[in-house]
Amino acid sequence: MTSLRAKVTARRLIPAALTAALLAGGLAMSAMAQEPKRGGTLTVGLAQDPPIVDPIRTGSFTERQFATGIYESLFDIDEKGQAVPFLAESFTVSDDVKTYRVKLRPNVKFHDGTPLDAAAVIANFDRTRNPANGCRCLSFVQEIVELKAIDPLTVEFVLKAPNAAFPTILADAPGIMVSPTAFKADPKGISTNPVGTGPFKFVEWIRGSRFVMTRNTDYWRPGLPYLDQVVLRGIQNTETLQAAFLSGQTDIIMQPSFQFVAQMKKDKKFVVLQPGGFGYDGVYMNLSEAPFNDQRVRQAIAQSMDRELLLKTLMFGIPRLGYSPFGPGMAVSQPVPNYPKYDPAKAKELLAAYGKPVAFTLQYNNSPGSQRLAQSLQEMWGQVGMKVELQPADQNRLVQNMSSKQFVASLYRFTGRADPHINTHPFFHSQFADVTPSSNYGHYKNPKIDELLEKGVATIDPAKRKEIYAEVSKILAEDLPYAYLFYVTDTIVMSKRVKGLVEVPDGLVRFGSIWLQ
Amino acid sequence: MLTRLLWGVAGVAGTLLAVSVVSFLLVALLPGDLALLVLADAATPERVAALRAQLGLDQPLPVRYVHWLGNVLSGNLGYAIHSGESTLDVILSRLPVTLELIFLTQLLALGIAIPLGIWSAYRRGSAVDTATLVGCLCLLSTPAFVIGLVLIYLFALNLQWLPATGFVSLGEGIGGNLESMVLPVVSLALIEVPVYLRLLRSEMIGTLQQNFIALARGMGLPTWRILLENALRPSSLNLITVVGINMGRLMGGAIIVEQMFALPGVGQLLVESIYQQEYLMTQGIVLFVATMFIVINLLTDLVYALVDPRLQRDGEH
Repeated sequence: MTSLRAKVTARRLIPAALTAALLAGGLAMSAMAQEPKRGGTLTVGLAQDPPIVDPIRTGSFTERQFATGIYESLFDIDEKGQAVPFLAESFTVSDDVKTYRVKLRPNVKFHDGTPLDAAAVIANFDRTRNPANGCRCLSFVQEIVELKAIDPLTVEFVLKAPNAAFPTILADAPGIMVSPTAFKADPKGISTNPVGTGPFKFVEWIRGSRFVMTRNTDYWRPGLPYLDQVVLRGIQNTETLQAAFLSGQTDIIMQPSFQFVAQMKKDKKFVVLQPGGFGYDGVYMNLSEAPFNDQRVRQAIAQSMDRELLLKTLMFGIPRLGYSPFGPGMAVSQPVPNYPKYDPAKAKELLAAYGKPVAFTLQYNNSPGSQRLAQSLQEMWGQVGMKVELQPADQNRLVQNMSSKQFVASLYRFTGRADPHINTHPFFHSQFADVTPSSNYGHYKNPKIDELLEKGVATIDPAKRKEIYAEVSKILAEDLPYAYLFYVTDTIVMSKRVKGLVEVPDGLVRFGSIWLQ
Repeated sequence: MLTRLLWGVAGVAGTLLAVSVVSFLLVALLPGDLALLVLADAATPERVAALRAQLGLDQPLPVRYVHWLGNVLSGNLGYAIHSGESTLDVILSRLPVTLELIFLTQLLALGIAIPLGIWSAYRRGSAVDTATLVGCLCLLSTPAFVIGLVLIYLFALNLQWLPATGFVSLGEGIGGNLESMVLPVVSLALIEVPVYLRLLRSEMIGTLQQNFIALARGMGLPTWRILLENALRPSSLNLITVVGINMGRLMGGAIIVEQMFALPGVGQLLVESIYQQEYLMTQGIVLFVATMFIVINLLTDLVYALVDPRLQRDGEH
């Protein structure tokens, strides 16, 4: 390694996080005077009881939330949406952005006593990189060409290509550290009996009922955690989930319906948090077939969607309108002035210029929420003269149809990651346009975008990256492979007695700093 | 009795075979490739091929059926796609909750229906009879999920007497267990009460007009003995049948009620499996529940024969 450019330490993270936590508590002045109290059980209501808790097979938001508490990653997302060292103490990166050297914190131990050292990190990556294990993160970890221990606490990653998003990847599934002793002893059992380094240790999981964690007395962050116990309850039925919260059976409720959030905002007994988010919902179009091979039709789609109206009615005013692939929680998030505004007259003009009748099928996830959205859009597009058929599909089939490019238009969501590269490269780079399966669902190709994306991933300077991705947003607003609806908002509603919750844009609750009044 | 049992078993075997075909086709005939659906966005050609081979999807349908049936008969209902756990083990771990729910529901429904049914038959046209008739009509026309929501609203949210959700297993204490079961059991049982009550009432009215009741009256036996000892047994034949058939119906009701009160039973497992695209788990549960339903019906038939002495002699009935 010739020269070292960036050196970041995580020591400043903890005080910063605590301050943010107190501010997030809502009562900055009085809360500052309060000392965090030790003890108590925190019960959290979630939308689902996941099938397993194992970073290598973790996909959905709820699965990630279940893992938080027991598992921690080499990097974590901070309250500004940036990936910062966490289990890692610091890192350095080479000038060509291809070699990362990650220094681990000393004296971190897994719950079973195994030390977290370079060997443990390498064992974890051997597990995630093995295609037989089917990690959902496989495409990320396959970027690593070489992985070696420099000393017992330093690991060096050599990447195929420059990748400024690597810290974010290390804050995601690939960076989550599982005890190698535990997964070697029972490769299958680890997914229902998790062993990590986190502030809480796994106690029991009564399927369909509750997931119980207890305080890790040997936790590496001094003085933490404050709680004795954390209980996660996956409750599939929305009304039940909300009733359990209102009757005081749970202290926090995650991802409740927007209707419920709107009600709770009016109630002084509860605190509503609305983390920024990284992802977006939108109408994804297939650019390889008529009618969406014509930019004018795509623009007409965007300009005939009255998103303000949808926001006020179906969304209860909760999320924010989307203009780019970068959610408001991201460091590169910025306004996109050239994004087409709602203008049905202009949409009609564009369609008239196109000259042919426009009829297409819109696929969407068969949940009641998506159904209402799809029906409203059908009506709005109908008003400017487009004929739209609706086709509901279950989520996996929808995903499958998208990645195998068997669709004309789809209502779709990307939950997003903290780094702009991950939110754009797989979706818009032309190298994936004609590959199946791939996330460039609509065969989108633009050499200018390719160039910007390649530049963006090789640039570390945050200011320069912001400029590059602003340009990306601008071009996407002209080309319109997607017509954006809203940015993804995963709200958290909690009772006033919950203190110290750090609001992180990814929407996940970190339990370490939480205490109960 | 023996012939009856043998015929019963033969009928059951035939029905079970039909059930197995239907549950098999349920997954086999899903449009599209199961492996593609399971893998979704992670469906690289190699992984699809591997999963197809693992699930035996590359073989013709009849071969797959025979293979699958062989597995089922040896107790292997397949494995959960995500966790790799045995489907049968997962179902059995959730079964006690559902069985307790159904058992308590039947107990409560009969506990209400039998005394009221007897009373309203004995005092036909009285205020009690009319009141139960009106009550029955109301309950009959209200679905379990409405009753459940009202109960949650009243007793969990407003009065805060009982928990809205959650399950405390018997192992953790019978008090907590029963407390967590009250609302689900009541919302299921209230719909069963009218059926049992009206059935028993009409049978009872018929029985009370029989000569042997007049004889018992003439002998000066007290009313409660006549009602309970002489009239109830011959009047309860249809009730037993309906209670038996209801066991299966309650499995259906349990799906909704378990969802609503977050009870970790088989019904909730079924809904979870559907949401999580656990196709094989869903298939296993359908097969399992259908089998239970059939077996319970067979048992009801046998109990029926025990209660009605006329059915115990072969050839006469």
